[in-house]
Amino acid sequence: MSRPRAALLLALVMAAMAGYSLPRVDFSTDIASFLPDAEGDEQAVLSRMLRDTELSRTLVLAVGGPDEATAAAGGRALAAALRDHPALAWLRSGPDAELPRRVYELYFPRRLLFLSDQPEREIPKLLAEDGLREEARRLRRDLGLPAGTLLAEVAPQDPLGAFRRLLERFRGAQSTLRVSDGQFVAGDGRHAILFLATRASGFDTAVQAPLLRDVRAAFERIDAEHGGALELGQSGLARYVVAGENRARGDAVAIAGLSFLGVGGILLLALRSAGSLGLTLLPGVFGLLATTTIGTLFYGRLDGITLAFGTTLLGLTIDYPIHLLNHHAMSPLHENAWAVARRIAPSLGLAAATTMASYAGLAFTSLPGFRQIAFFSVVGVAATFAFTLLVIPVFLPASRRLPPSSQRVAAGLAGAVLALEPRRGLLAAVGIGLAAASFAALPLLRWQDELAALSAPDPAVVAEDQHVRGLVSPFDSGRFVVAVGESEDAAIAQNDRVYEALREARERGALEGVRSVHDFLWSVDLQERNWRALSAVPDLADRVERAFAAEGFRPGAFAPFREALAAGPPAPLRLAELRDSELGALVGPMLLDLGDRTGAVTLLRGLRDPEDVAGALASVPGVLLFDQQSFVTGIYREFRDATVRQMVLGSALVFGVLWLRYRRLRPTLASFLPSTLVAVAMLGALGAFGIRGNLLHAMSLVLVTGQGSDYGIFVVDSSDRSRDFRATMLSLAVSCMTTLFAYGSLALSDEPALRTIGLTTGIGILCCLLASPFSFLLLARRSPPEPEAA
Amino acid sequence: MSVRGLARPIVRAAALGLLAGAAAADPAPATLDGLMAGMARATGVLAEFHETKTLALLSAPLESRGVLHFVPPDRMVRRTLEPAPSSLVVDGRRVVFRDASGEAPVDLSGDPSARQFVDNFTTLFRGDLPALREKYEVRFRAEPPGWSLELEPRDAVLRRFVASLTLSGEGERMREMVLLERDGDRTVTRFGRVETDHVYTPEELSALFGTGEAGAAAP
Repeated sequence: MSRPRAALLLALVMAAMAGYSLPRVDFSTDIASFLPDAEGDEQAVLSRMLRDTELSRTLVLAVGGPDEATAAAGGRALAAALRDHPALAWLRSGPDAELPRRVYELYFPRRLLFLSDQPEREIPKLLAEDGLREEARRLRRDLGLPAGTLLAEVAPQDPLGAFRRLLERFRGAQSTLRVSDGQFVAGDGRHAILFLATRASGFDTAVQAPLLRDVRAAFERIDAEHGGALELGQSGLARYVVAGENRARGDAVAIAGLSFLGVGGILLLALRSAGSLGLTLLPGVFGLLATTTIGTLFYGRLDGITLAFGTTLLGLTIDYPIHLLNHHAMSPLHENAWAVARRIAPSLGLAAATTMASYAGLAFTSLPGFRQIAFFSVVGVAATFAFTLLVIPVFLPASRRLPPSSQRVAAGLAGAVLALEPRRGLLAAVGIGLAAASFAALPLLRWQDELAALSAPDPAVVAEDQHVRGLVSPFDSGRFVVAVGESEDAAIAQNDRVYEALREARERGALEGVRSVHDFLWSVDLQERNWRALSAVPDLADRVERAFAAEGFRPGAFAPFREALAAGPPAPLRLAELRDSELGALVGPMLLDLGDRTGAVTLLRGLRDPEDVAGALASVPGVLLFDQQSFVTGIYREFRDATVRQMVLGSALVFGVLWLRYRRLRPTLASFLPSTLVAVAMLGALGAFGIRGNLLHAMSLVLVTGQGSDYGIFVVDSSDRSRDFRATMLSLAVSCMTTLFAYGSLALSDEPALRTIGLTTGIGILCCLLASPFSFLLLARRSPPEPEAA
Repeated sequence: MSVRGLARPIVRAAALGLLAGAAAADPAPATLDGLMAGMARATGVLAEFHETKTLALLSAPLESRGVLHFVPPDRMVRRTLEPAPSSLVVDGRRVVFRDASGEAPVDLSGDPSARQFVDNFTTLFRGDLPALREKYEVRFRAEPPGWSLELEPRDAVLRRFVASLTLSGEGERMREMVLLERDGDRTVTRFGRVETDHVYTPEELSALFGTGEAGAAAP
């Protein structure tokens, strides 16, 4: 096939792949993909907490002003400006004017089912003569109070005060916010509060970033109208996500620019040809498109993290075209590109196989996101490898030569390696000493799994978030209890038991308070027990009449109560009915849909004795007490463990592949040991210098060993041909430099995570290049490479 | 339910606002405009009240006594002293009730009925007759030496519970307010020892309203 036709065909194929896959790529990130498979309750619950609940989609805005009236006016104006924003599912800036009516309609008919959540203990006391007289005195007193006249209408139907108790529980469950002229105001009287929930996930920066910009723009306009007297505080997951992305993007622009210039400059310097530069980059682009297309077909959607990390892994395959081009240019027999491709195919194939084996280890973790990365990388490496050998030769001329400078570098590097040969013993001693020291230092290595070490959010964002949270709720969002049930009713029943256990803990002083679904709904069983406790007193209506008459109530005034008792128990209130009612929003944020199960969340306030609370909850099966910080740390520890395990497993697979190829120990070790030793040495160095390792160190070393083993393979495979050896050393140097610029430049980032990746990858890859002579020396080849063929 | 529940204290307190204006007027108002103008001139009100509630539920009426404080333009405390201490504090847009039970004060600011109360009150205090007419059907009768002002709510929900509110007085003095509900319940409030030119000192204001939380006034 002629080159123009091949180019056209290639362009069509790549355009087709791009046309199919790119519209289907979801650049957002689903954090749940990077949590362990949701087999255990904890993982499932956290996954839902992070991804699905309103909690993760809610933003809290605090509009501060010099006084309450100004702040409230600012809050109202901001609410009016944002209320119809298309990204918002809802916005609440003040109390629901219809709430009392809604509560009355749903609960009043069932008031006698909500008399006491300890019915066997409290209802008999209430229905005793003394209890009824006390209730009558209270009602009489309340009727005389201005606010007490609320009872005037309902008292004939509810002399026992069941509805009053219910309203008290509702009131206790409301937030500490006050209301000023219809606008929520924080307790300090200087901040108006708005609650916003987006339709999209808090992680969806494509939605969240424009929304935050709109919020800021609307606020600035309103602030200008108030003479600059207002201030805006924001709290919510999206703030962290967008701020993190902005910071990373700021870094990325600078780093990508440096990286692009560096990689392009090195390749141009080495190849001195724009066409060759294009051919070097083309396989990677093809591999990316191919794996994105296949990944989209296989998974339906590819996660943003998969794309980012998988593309990073694929970047390492730039070695393949570099080797092909260099070996072609330095071919001793001036072979054509196809012949060179055939000749180096075993080495490239082995390098690709070991790289795939190395990344395939990720597929054996319990993290769906890691498995997707493994799939993406393996398919991408295979596609890049095949493209390099099967397509690139089409576009290479019959023969080409490297620029003299590159040839000198190649000769110099090869000569330097050969010059080391007489010092084989010394080098062996250095290598063994380094390995021994590294292994000795390994036990000193300590892991750091706290999230803060991996990603330090902007302190200003953290401070603002905490300030706004403090204004809105005294509850600790980082600690909560989840009652999980096989059905909704079962979850509510579990929640009753949780509430009871926490009430006892509160009485012991282990915590200050809770916010629970229990404030709004009891289990069917508990509701029915209320009715049974009332029914246990057959002459209840008469007793109420007598006791209340003795306290000044008119005989017969409570006929509606008598009728309610005679009518029998009302249908209990169930979660489904409450959730579907106009009051559903009260409990919605505190419920988790766990597929075939339901979770009810209880927030804790003033947790003074976590062990006491944990002990109290231990007696309730199916209940989880979360400390989000330690739980997230645990998740990251699992990430890191998985990555280290995969490093070990991947290394074993790589060794196996090398053994299958060479069938002899010496070349197998020669290609395997240097990069492995680099990884061990780097971990040992972390331990020796007291630097705590983390997940990103481990992930970066996966990259390093994958690239380093390729170096070993190329050295071993070209060690018997001097011209090939020079081409190999030149390729390794170019490859190392491009990797250094591509990944090492991340070390310049302000982001701790990127900096860790950059430093580890950069130092590791450089060490792999420096260690590559060991591969040659380990072969124990005592004579110089064969002279170049004519 | 809640509308009716709060309707009584709302209209009662609103009428007490009228009391302030009525008592401040000099000479005695012969017209509604005169009554409203007098309200607008009030500088500060201190009055005792005696309330009698006749409820269908009770064999005998409930009686209570207390003191009303009004501080222009929008602050008021209604302190009930007998039989059970309680206080209702209005401070601008905030409405807080507390009693002697020791329970936390109840912030009624977010309650739409309380909102209506505040609106009614400020409307009356401003002497804003058009706004008053918007909320109520207003009937004023001058029957020398007395007068009466009957208010009938226009709001449909309020009308379900409140039949009328009638204020009456003689000359410069308002003597009585009668709240009649649809179910026959009736609340009669009589006023005495009315000071309409009371000037509240900072200490009194601090005791009544506190410096931060509304509802500082102890029951």
